[in-house]
Amino acid sequence: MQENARNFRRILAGRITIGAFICILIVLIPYLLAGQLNLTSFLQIPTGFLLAAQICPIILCVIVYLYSRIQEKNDLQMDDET
Amino acid sequence: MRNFVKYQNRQIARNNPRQLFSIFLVAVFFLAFFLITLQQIGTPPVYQLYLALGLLVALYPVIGIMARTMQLDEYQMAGHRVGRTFGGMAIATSLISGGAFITLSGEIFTNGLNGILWMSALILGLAVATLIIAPAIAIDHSSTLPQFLAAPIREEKAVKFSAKLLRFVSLFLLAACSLLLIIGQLGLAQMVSSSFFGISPIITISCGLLAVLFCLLLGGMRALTWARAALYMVIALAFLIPIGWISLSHSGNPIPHFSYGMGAIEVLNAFQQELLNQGFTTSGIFGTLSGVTNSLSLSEVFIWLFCIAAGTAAMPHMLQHFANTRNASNARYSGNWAMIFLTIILCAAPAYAAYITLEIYNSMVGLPIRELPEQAPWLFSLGLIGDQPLASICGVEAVDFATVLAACGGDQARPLIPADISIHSAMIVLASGHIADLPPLISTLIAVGAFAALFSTIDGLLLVTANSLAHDGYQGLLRRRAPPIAIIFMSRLILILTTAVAGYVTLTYAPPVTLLITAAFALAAAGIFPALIIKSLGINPRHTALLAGMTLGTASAMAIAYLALWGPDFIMGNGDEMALISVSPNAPADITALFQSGCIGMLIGFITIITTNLTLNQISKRTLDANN
Repeated sequence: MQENARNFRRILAGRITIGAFICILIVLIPYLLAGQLNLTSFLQIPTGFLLAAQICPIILCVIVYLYSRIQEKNDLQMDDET
Repeated sequence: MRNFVKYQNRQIARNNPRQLFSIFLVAVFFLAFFLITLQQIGTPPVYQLYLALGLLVALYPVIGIMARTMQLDEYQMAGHRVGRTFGGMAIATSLISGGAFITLSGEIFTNGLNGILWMSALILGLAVATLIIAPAIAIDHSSTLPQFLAAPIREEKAVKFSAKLLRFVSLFLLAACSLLLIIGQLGLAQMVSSSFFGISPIITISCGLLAVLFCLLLGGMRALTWARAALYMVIALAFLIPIGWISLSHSGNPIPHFSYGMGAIEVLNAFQQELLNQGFTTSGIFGTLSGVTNSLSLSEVFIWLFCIAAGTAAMPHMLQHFANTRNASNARYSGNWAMIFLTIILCAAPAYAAYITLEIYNSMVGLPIRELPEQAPWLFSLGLIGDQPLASICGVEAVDFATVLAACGGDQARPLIPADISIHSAMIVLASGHIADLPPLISTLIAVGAFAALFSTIDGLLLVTANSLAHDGYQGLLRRRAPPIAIIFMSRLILILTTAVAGYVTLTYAPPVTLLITAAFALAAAGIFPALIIKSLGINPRHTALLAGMTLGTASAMAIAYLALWGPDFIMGNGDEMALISVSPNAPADITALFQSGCIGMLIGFITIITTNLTLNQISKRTLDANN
């Protein structure tokens, strides 16, 4: 029972963290695209392009990978239960 | 005994996608070698194109025969045996539609921000699907999206009426979204084939659909997964080789994703400054690349992003691949691979926009008009796309040199200025081989990639619609104890009918491609997304709540879209029907209005599901208390 409650809390914490991160990205991307933040880069790519086209997708890939690794144990456990 | 061993070996080969994929890769390299040989011996480019497209069409039946099956689990779910990498490739291919392949770079070329928003939102939508929806679908082991949504909440023995109705509504929404997208993609194939490649639309649509149909009828979901994994390689090669070549020639770096800043944009900025110093006005593409132009207001940027991301996350042909995986962990990793594969291709789109702009300006700006036929012969071989010319000079379609010369004032020595040149956005990828003067083989490769992208989206949509109608409509609602063979038969029959209807509608009417694709995303966002997210979060909402949310969300989105686009026009001709929703003056009005209606529908859907669920829980609690 305690184990289940702990698992549930862990899953919920994971979901909240990821949700918060996605919310930040959702807010950040349009803000950057709209040119509100005027950053420059050594690649000479305009800020909006650089962030939306290169950095954010890579960050998202890393986040999804890390989350998948964290959840792998839970997933397998849930799979056994079902 | 020997026959038995042979049979076993054949079975292993049929069930081993890795082995088949290796065979496919070897075949692709042999094909490339064959095409290079054809070019070396001087075969006309048009024959190379027909041969390559014919081989692409032949790929579908071959995969169909290799993946043929008569087992329901294999036909509908690929036997739940799709690996992470192959699943990821299939998911990525489902999202790299013809629209993304052909028009994304062009959208960045003409409208900067709007194109980037599509790109970011597709990746964001896939991330949301991977993190939230995919594991829930994989754990549930449902065969289709409507079955997942209408799955029994607790240990219910009898199937309630609300569950049946929910299944019916979700089936209707799934079919509507899929049909909108199918006809949109077919319309794009029709436009591109006739205007750019000079192939009759009837031949393109009928050959493409027949090949897809043959493949899906034999192998179902298993064939679809293999076909999509194979086509990912074709699409990736077709998209990345040309731009890698151009990038290498300009910057010495074959990775365009990281070279286009120094290699193209910096040069373009210097070019722009020089033109400004000479007293020329520069607009359009220079504006979109040197800083992100902004035809949308900040709120509209959010609306576009939300609606496309939500629509992507709820796309049934993409979500079905998550259901084909073995467990939640595999579903997550498949999504992860898909994000990597998708990012590799989509992130090259801004590089296309930048390098092709540079090529156009390098080869055309300042060029005396008399030299146009020699320096840019491709200009005069293009036609119309829809009712717009693919390339126009001095405001007229570049049909021949005499027309262009007359429009530019008749002075053959007059140099071209940026304002004289107008290129259609669909040209950026399709004509990149011609514009950058690459070998004809590269143009053939791009054509093959474009058709692969178009038909790899259509095939999944057709199969998912047919499978859902057979599984949820025929078995779920009409004949609960239907034998597997009857379900497969019904699925195949519906597949044939759906394909015929989609082909007929596309060829009979000229569908408004952009509007249909936008409407599909808005409908998925308003109707399916809220229910999917709430169901996937493990809240276990009541069927009635989901039903109410889906119905109200869809109805409100459709009503708002209808009023905004075709509502009562109080003063004819001034477009005051758009007054219902405020759209920025320079923003694409129809698309923005559809996305706004999608977002409002999505919000109403979420609120309705949550409030109805809470209210019903309260009522049920009070009834229980009263009974006790």
